[in-house]
Amino acid sequence: MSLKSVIDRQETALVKCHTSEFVDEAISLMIQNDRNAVVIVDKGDHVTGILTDHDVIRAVHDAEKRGQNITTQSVTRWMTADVISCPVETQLSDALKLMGRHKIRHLVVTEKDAAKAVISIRDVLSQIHEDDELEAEVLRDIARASRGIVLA
Amino acid sequence: MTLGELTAGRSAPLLCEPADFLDETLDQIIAAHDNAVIVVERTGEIVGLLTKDNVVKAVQAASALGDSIAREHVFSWMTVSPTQISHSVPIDEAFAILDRKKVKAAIIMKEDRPLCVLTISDVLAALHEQDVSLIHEMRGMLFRPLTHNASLGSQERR
Repeated sequence: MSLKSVIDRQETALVKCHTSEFVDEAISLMIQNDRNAVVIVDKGDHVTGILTDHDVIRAVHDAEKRGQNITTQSVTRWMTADVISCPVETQLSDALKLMGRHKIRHLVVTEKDAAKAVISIRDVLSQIHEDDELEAEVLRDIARASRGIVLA
Repeated sequence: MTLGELTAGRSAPLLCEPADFLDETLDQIIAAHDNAVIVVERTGEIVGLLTKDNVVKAVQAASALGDSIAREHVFSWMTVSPTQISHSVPIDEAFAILDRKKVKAAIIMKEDRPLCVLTISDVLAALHEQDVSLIHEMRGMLFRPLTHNASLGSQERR
Protein backbone atom coordinates (compact mmCIF):
# COMPACT_ATOMS: atom_id res chain seq x y z
CA MET A 1 0.00 0.00 0.00
CA SER A 2 1.39 3.41 -0.97
CA LEU A 3 1.12 6.90 0.52
CA LYS A 4 -1.62 7.62 -2.01
CA SER A 5 -4.00 5.58 0.16
CA VAL A 6 -3.35 7.98 3.05
CA ILE A 7 -3.62 11.15 0.97
CA ASP A 8 -6.87 10.08 -0.71
CA ARG A 9 -8.54 10.00 2.70
CA GLN A 10 -7.55 13.54 3.65
CA GLU A 11 -9.84 16.48 3.01
CA THR A 12 -6.97 18.96 2.96
CA ALA A 13 -3.75 17.19 2.21
CA LEU A 14 -1.58 20.25 1.64
CA VAL A 15 -1.63 23.56 3.49
CA LYS A 16 0.73 26.15 2.05
CA CYS A 17 2.12 29.33 3.53
CA HIS A 18 4.33 31.85 1.73
CA THR A 19 7.83 32.81 2.79
CA SER A 20 6.61 36.37 3.33
CA GLU A 21 4.10 35.31 6.00
CA PHE A 22 4.41 35.29 9.77
CA VAL A 23 4.11 32.54 12.36
CA ASP A 24 0.67 33.69 13.55
CA GLU A 25 -0.65 33.38 9.99
CA ALA A 26 0.78 29.87 9.74
CA ILE A 27 -0.90 28.97 13.06
CA SER A 28 -4.26 30.19 11.75
CA LEU A 29 -3.85 28.01 8.65
CA MET A 30 -2.98 24.99 10.81
CA ILE A 31 -6.03 25.46 13.02
CA GLN A 32 -8.44 26.23 10.16
CA ASN A 33 -7.35 23.07 8.33
CA ASP A 34 -6.84 20.91 11.42
CA ARG A 35 -3.24 20.13 10.39
CA ASN A 36 -0.06 20.07 12.46
CA ALA A 37 2.25 21.23 9.67
CA VAL A 38 2.32 23.59 6.70
CA VAL A 39 4.74 23.74 3.80
CA ILE A 40 6.46 27.04 3.12
CA VAL A 41 6.62 28.02 -0.54
CA ASP A 42 8.34 30.86 -2.36
CA LYS A 43 6.86 33.13 -5.05
CA GLY A 44 7.43 30.42 -7.64
CA ASP A 45 5.47 27.95 -5.47
CA HIS A 46 8.63 25.95 -4.77
CA VAL A 47 8.82 24.30 -1.35
CA THR A 48 11.48 26.00 0.76
CA GLY A 49 10.60 24.55 4.14
CA ILE A 50 8.13 22.94 6.51
CA LEU A 51 6.73 24.48 9.69
CA THR A 52 5.30 22.08 12.26
CA ASP A 53 3.50 22.57 15.57
CA HIS A 54 6.82 21.78 17.22
CA ASP A 55 8.48 24.72 15.40
CA VAL A 56 5.55 26.95 16.37
CA ILE A 57 5.97 26.05 20.04
CA ARG A 58 9.68 26.89 19.83
CA ALA A 59 8.90 30.20 18.13
CA VAL A 60 6.31 31.14 20.75
CA HIS A 61 8.65 30.20 23.57
CA ASP A 62 11.48 32.26 22.09
CA ALA A 63 9.22 35.26 21.46
CA GLU A 64 7.88 35.12 25.03
CA LYS A 65 11.42 35.03 26.41
CA ARG A 66 12.40 38.09 24.38
CA GLY A 67 9.19 39.96 25.16
CA GLN A 68 8.31 39.89 21.47
CA ASN A 69 5.18 38.87 19.63
CA ILE A 70 4.96 36.04 17.09
CA THR A 71 3.12 38.36 14.72
CA THR A 72 6.56 39.75 13.88
CA GLN A 73 8.27 36.36 13.50
CA SER A 74 8.74 35.27 9.90
CA VAL A 75 7.93 31.66 9.09
CA THR A 76 11.31 31.37 7.36
CA ARG A 77 13.06 31.93 10.68
CA TRP A 78 11.39 28.93 12.32
CA MET A 79 10.72 26.52 9.47
CA THR A 80 12.88 23.47 8.82
CA ALA A 81 14.55 24.21 5.50
CA ASP A 82 15.95 20.72 5.05
CA VAL A 83 12.69 19.18 3.86
CA ILE A 84 12.48 15.40 3.71
CA SER A 85 10.16 14.33 0.92
CA CYS A 86 9.19 11.22 -0.98
CA PRO A 87 7.03 10.42 -4.00
CA VAL A 88 3.37 9.50 -3.65
CA GLU A 89 4.11 5.94 -4.84
CA THR A 90 6.29 5.28 -1.76
CA GLN A 91 5.17 2.28 0.26
CA LEU A 92 3.85 3.03 3.75
CA SER A 93 6.52 0.87 5.40
CA ASP A 94 9.26 2.73 3.51
CA ALA A 95 7.77 6.10 4.53
CA LEU A 96 7.77 4.94 8.14
CA LYS A 97 11.42 3.89 7.88
CA LEU A 98 12.30 7.26 6.31
CA MET A 99 10.65 9.11 9.18
CA GLY A 100 12.46 6.92 11.70
CA ARG A 101 15.83 7.41 10.01
CA HIS A 102 15.47 11.21 10.01
CA LYS A 103 13.66 11.34 13.38
CA ILE A 104 10.81 13.37 11.91
CA ARG A 105 7.04 13.22 12.33
CA HIS A 106 5.99 14.83 9.04
CA LEU A 107 6.86 14.07 5.43
CA VAL A 108 6.25 16.13 2.31
CA VAL A 109 4.77 13.89 -0.37
CA THR A 110 5.47 14.82 -3.97
CA GLU A 111 3.86 14.00 -7.30
CA LYS A 112 5.68 14.89 -10.52
CA ASP A 113 8.18 16.87 -8.41
CA ALA A 114 5.46 19.12 -6.94
CA ALA A 115 4.35 19.01 -3.28
CA LYS A 116 1.05 17.13 -3.04
CA ALA A 117 0.61 16.59 0.69
CA VAL A 118 2.11 16.66 4.14
CA ILE A 119 1.51 13.45 6.05
CA SER A 120 2.11 12.79 9.71
CA ILE A 121 3.49 9.65 11.33
CA ARG A 122 0.03 9.16 12.84
CA ASP A 123 -1.57 9.15 9.37
CA VAL A 124 0.91 6.51 8.20
CA LEU A 125 0.64 4.35 11.32
CA SER A 126 -3.19 4.47 11.22
CA GLN A 127 -3.23 3.21 7.63
CA ILE A 128 -0.60 0.54 8.36
CA HIS A 129 -2.64 -0.65 11.35
CA GLU A 130 -5.74 -1.00 9.17
CA ASP A 131 -3.73 -2.96 6.60
CA ASP A 132 -2.22 -5.18 9.33
CA GLU A 133 -5.69 -5.90 10.72
CA LEU A 134 -6.95 -6.82 7.26
CA GLU A 135 -4.00 -9.13 6.61
CA ALA A 136 -4.43 -10.84 9.99
CA GLU A 137 -8.14 -11.34 9.25
CA VAL A 138 -7.37 -12.90 5.84
CA LEU A 139 -4.83 -15.24 7.47
CA ARG A 140 -7.41 -16.22 10.11
CA ASP A 141 -9.91 -16.99 7.33
CA ILE A 142 -7.32 -19.14 5.53
CA ALA A 143 -6.60 -20.97 8.80
CA ARG A 144 -10.32 -21.61 9.37
CA ALA A 145 -10.79 -22.78 5.78
CA SER A 146 -7.79 -25.11 5.91
CA ARG A 147 -9.08 -26.63 9.16
CA GLY A 148 -12.39 -27.22 7.36
CA ILE A 149 -10.59 -29.03 4.50
CA VAL A 150 -8.72 -31.25 6.94
CA LEU A 151 -11.95 -32.08 8.81
CA ALA A 152 -13.78 -32.84 5.54
CA MET B 1 1.28 -6.10 25.64
CA THR B 2 -0.19 -3.74 28.25
CA LEU B 3 0.24 0.01 28.51
CA GLY B 4 2.32 -0.56 31.65
CA GLU B 5 4.77 -2.73 29.68
CA LEU B 6 4.86 -0.22 26.84
CA THR B 7 5.63 2.71 29.12
CA ALA B 8 8.05 0.95 31.47
CA GLY B 9 11.14 3.07 32.11
CA ARG B 10 9.55 6.34 31.02
CA SER B 11 10.36 9.37 33.14
CA ALA B 12 7.72 10.86 35.43
CA PRO B 13 5.13 13.07 33.69
CA LEU B 14 5.16 16.86 33.83
CA LEU B 15 2.65 18.32 36.25
CA CYS B 16 1.25 21.81 36.71
CA GLU B 17 -1.63 23.51 38.48
CA PRO B 18 -4.71 25.00 36.79
CA ALA B 19 -3.79 28.52 37.92
CA ASP B 20 -0.26 28.37 36.48
CA PHE B 21 0.54 30.70 33.61
CA LEU B 22 0.83 29.30 30.10
CA ASP B 23 4.25 30.78 29.39
CA GLU B 24 5.70 29.15 32.53
CA THR B 25 4.13 25.82 31.60
CA LEU B 26 5.53 26.17 28.09
CA ASP B 27 8.98 26.59 29.69
CA GLN B 28 8.44 23.23 31.41
CA ILE B 29 7.39 21.53 28.15
CA ILE B 30 10.39 22.90 26.22
CA ALA B 31 12.91 22.12 28.99
CA ALA B 32 11.68 18.53 29.30
CA HIS B 33 11.37 18.00 25.50
CA ASP B 34 7.87 16.77 26.25
CA ASN B 35 4.53 17.17 24.50
CA ALA B 36 2.04 17.58 27.31
CA VAL B 37 1.55 18.51 30.96
CA ILE B 38 -0.93 16.90 33.34
CA VAL B 39 -2.95 19.51 35.23
CA VAL B 40 -3.55 18.61 38.88
CA GLU B 41 -5.19 20.36 41.79
CA ARG B 42 -3.22 20.68 45.03
CA THR B 43 -5.29 17.75 46.33
CA GLY B 44 -3.70 15.62 43.59
CA GLU B 45 -6.91 15.36 41.56
CA ILE B 46 -6.31 15.36 37.81
CA VAL B 47 -8.43 18.08 36.22
CA GLY B 48 -6.91 18.51 32.79
CA LEU B 49 -4.24 17.89 30.20
CA LEU B 50 -2.38 20.66 28.39
CA THR B 51 -0.98 19.57 25.02
CA LYS B 52 0.89 21.39 22.28
CA ASP B 53 -2.42 21.64 20.38
CA ASN B 54 -3.94 23.53 23.31
CA VAL B 55 -0.97 25.91 23.44
CA VAL B 56 -1.14 26.56 19.69
CA LYS B 57 -4.86 27.45 20.01
CA ALA B 58 -4.10 29.78 22.92
CA VAL B 59 -1.38 31.48 20.88
CA GLN B 60 -3.76 31.98 17.96
CA ALA B 61 -6.41 33.55 20.19
CA ALA B 62 -3.89 35.80 21.95
CA SER B 63 -2.16 36.94 18.76
CA ALA B 64 -5.54 37.77 17.16
CA LEU B 65 -5.92 40.29 19.99
CA GLY B 66 -2.34 41.48 19.58
CA ASP B 67 -1.51 39.92 22.93
CA SER B 68 0.80 37.19 24.23
CA ILE B 69 0.02 34.04 26.22
CA ALA B 70 1.94 35.32 29.26
CA ARG B 71 -1.21 36.36 31.11
CA GLU B 72 -3.21 33.28 30.16
CA HIS B 73 -3.86 30.60 32.76
CA VAL B 74 -3.59 26.89 32.09
CA PHE B 75 -7.22 26.26 33.13
CA SER B 76 -8.48 28.44 30.28
CA TRP B 77 -6.83 26.26 27.61
CA MET B 78 -6.37 22.77 29.01
CA THR B 79 -8.44 19.81 27.88
CA VAL B 80 -10.87 19.29 30.74
CA SER B 81 -11.48 15.75 32.07
CA PRO B 82 -8.79 14.10 29.95
CA THR B 83 -8.99 10.44 29.05
CA GLN B 84 -7.37 8.24 31.69
CA ILE B 85 -6.51 4.60 31.00
CA SER B 86 -5.19 2.03 33.45
CA HIS B 87 -1.66 0.73 32.90
CA SER B 88 -3.06 -2.83 32.91
CA VAL B 89 -5.10 -2.26 29.72
CA PRO B 90 -3.75 -4.05 26.62
CA ILE B 91 -2.57 -1.73 23.83
CA ASP B 92 -5.25 -2.83 21.35
CA GLU B 93 -7.97 -1.91 23.86
CA ALA B 94 -6.23 1.41 24.53
CA PHE B 95 -6.24 2.16 20.81
CA ALA B 96 -9.96 1.35 20.63
CA ILE B 97 -10.63 3.78 23.52
CA LEU B 98 -8.60 6.61 21.92
CA ASP B 99 -10.20 5.96 18.53
CA ARG B 100 -13.73 5.87 19.95
CA LYS B 101 -13.22 9.07 21.95
CA LYS B 102 -11.40 10.75 19.04
CA VAL B 103 -8.59 11.93 21.30
CA LYS B 104 -4.90 12.11 20.45
CA ALA B 105 -3.50 11.53 23.94
CA ALA B 106 -4.39 9.91 27.25
CA ILE B 107 -3.00 9.78 30.77
CA ILE B 108 -1.81 6.33 31.78
CA MET B 109 -2.72 5.61 35.38
CA LYS B 110 -1.45 3.17 37.98
CA GLU B 111 -4.10 3.16 40.67
CA ASP B 112 -4.54 6.89 41.45
CA ARG B 113 -1.11 7.91 40.18
CA PRO B 114 -0.42 9.23 36.65
CA LEU B 115 2.43 7.27 35.05
CA CYS B 116 2.81 9.23 31.80
CA VAL B 117 1.01 10.74 28.83
CA LEU B 118 0.74 8.51 25.80
CA THR B 119 -0.19 9.66 22.30
CA ILE B 120 -2.17 7.69 19.76
CA SER B 121 1.00 7.50 17.63
CA ASP B 122 2.86 5.78 20.51
CA VAL B 123 0.06 3.23 20.77
CA LEU B 124 -0.16 2.71 16.99
CA ALA B 125 3.61 2.18 16.72
CA ALA B 126 3.47 -0.50 19.45
CA LEU B 127 0.40 -2.09 17.86
CA HIS B 128 2.21 -2.28 14.52
CA GLU B 129 5.12 -4.16 16.12
CA GLN B 130 2.65 -6.53 17.77
CA ASP B 131 0.71 -6.98 14.50
CA VAL B 132 3.90 -7.71 12.54
CA SER B 133 4.97 -10.49 14.89
CA LEU B 134 1.43 -11.94 14.96
CA ILE B 135 1.22 -11.95 11.14
CA HIS B 136 4.69 -13.49 10.89
CA GLU B 137 3.67 -16.23 13.34
CA MET B 138 0.37 -16.91 11.52
CA ARG B 139 2.11 -17.08 8.15
CA GLY B 140 4.63 -19.52 9.60
CA MET B 141 1.91 -21.76 11.01
CA LEU B 142 -0.19 -21.68 7.85
CA PHE B 143 2.39 -21.98 5.11
CA ARG B 144 5.11 -24.12 6.72
CA PRO B 145 3.05 -27.34 6.35
CA LEU B 146 2.45 -26.55 2.66
CA THR B 147 6.17 -25.93 2.03
CA HIS B 148 6.99 -29.07 4.02
CA ASN B 149 4.47 -31.17 2.01
CA ALA B 150 5.71 -29.72 -1.25
CA SER B 151 9.30 -30.69 -0.43
CA LEU B 152 8.14 -34.19 0.61
CA GLY B 153 6.33 -34.52 -2.71
CA SER B 154 9.41 -33.57 -4.69
CA GLN B 155 11.46 -36.11 -2.71
CA GLU B 156 8.92 -38.84 -3.47
CA ARG B 157 9.00 -38.00 -7.20
CA ARG B 158 12.76 -38.44 -7.15
